[in-house]
Amino acid sequence: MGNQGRVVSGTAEGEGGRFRREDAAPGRDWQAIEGSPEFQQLVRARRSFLVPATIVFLVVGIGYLLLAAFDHGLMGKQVFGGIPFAFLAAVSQILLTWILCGAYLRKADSTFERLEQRAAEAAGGHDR
Amino acid sequence: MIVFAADLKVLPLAVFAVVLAITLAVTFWAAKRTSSATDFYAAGRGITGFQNGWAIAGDYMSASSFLGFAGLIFLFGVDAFVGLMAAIVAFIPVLFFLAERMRNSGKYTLADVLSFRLRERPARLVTAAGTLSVVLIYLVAQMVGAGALIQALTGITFTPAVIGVGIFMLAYVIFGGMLATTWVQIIKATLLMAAGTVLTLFVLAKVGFNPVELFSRAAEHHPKGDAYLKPGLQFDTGLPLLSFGIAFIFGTAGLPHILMRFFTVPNAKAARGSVGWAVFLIGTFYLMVMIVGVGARALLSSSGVKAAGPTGNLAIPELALNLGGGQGSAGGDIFLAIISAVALATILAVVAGLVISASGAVAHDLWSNVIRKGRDSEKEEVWVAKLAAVGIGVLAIVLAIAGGAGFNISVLVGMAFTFASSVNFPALLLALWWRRFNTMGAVVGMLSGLIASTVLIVMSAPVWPGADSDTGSPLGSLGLANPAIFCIPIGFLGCFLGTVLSSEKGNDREYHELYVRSETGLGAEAADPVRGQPKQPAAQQRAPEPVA
Repeated sequence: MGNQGRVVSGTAEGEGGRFRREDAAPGRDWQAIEGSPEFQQLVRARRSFLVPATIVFLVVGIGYLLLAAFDHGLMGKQVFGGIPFAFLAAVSQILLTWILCGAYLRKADSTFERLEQRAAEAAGGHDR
Repeated sequence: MIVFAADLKVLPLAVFAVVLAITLAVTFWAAKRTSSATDFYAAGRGITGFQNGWAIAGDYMSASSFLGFAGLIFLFGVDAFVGLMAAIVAFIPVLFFLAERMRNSGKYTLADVLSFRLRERPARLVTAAGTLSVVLIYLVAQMVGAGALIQALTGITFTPAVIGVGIFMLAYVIFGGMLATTWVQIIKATLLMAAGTVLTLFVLAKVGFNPVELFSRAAEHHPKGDAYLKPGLQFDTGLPLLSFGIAFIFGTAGLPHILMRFFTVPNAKAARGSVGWAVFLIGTFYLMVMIVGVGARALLSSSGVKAAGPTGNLAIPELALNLGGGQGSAGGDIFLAIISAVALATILAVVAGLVISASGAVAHDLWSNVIRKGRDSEKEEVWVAKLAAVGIGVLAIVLAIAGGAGFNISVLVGMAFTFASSVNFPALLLALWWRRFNTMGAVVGMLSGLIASTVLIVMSAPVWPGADSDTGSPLGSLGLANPAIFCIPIGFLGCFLGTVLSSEKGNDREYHELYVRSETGLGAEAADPVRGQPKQPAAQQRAPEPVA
């Protein structure tokens, strides 16, 4: 406990500051941790979710803006007997946000968290 | 003699006084629990994910999204949905790329994350400049809006209204720090959600819970008829709409007062969970804003339409009056008073969050780390943070009063989001994700984003001197009040060119550390730091890196 992590990059001008590196495990070899199979597995797992999810976010989110900005014909349509298509398109953005955020949170709880834990343990564990 | 009030509206003031009393009680409670720097900036990192989700919602949904966006929907119909939707989608990149990583690798401010792997002083200087410009502009916009709104809702005139908002805002921040600010935001979000739910149910009841009826009645009541349900009323060309939306989508990920909220929770799990709650609340609220905005058009009589004003800002209060039973009825007066008080609480919660993030940039980044080089005591830093809050608060009050109604609020808000998206967001993203990124890249990138935004906004039609709707911007149709679509690429390009063209060697070791920490949470700031422990000597010394 009481590990006041530092936030100063270790340049001369930051020396002696109270945000100096004060880790309880000063000798951590971050490069080695980064190269460890456990860490790599974590990064791969997260990336394999984030890359497709980000593509969905950009395509649907920016796509919505492009349609709203330039396709007035489609956005001006009325569907289901009088509901503006623009309203449904707007609601789709709320659903997009809920679905993508929900999916990330589920994945984080079910997978990433466990992998983070393993990577941290392989690196000698949390220092508090 | 200054006129402090003309035609005071007693009932809204009475309801608002109750809300104020509650927030002051919270501040009093919080003040006893706020002493260390971690308490002041980050509420001791003891806010739960659920609470933080409500607080983010309270921090994010300003009076402009409640009254402003609903008013725009009331005036322009479906075009005005777009801004709201961009503002909610914006939380996807915040969750994917920033929320947990901010918590894992930062302490109090955005600059903490950047200076982790970049040279401390230049990185903190430019990041603090980015934070302060975003926050000050946004703060002035909120204050001007608050002044106008309070005048309309309570009868208190503009200048005393702005000063009053400023005093309460500073009281929360100075005495109660982040803990009081957080609870003011939670209370406000609760009130806002309740008010939104009641208004939505009333509106839907009036149209028999039939959305088709809602939209067709709204179109009938709009002077342009069916055009109300089609795009084109607010933005007649596509580019301004697109750029406006992009500013919101990527600007949120660069808003210091929102990102700072992730430092208040105990760990990364709570940080990501808080985004989940926030998007649930904000998404639900924006859905309600759309219904209520269209409902105001469908239900208000011609006198109500007139009273809603040219900006539509008062459409929701007028709707509340109408739904409660109309002018002169007890129900109408009470409903109007409650909605007005909620709107006022909304303003206070947002400005308090803004001030605390700005005070962090001044005290933690500029004073403690750049000027005092970390040699100051924690007590000194908290003291400077409070002084900085007063300075920023007073500056915002003075600017708001000096500019008065002459400031165009939507230009100011657009400017804040453009700055956030093109100054803060590119550097923050690259610091966390790009191995080669270096100090020169951050400095060049942030400055080019800042300069590009400023120049393009000055050259846009609403700002360019002498421009009116006929002459327009000197850039023609490319002159945008929200030029994010140009400025974000310029910001990224600046980061890239600054990095590859400088001879400065990227600091690999620091990047490895930041990368591992941000991904795993190793070495993250403790949730409950033990106070008063003697500082350990620096564990690692590193040779000063060559200056580019």
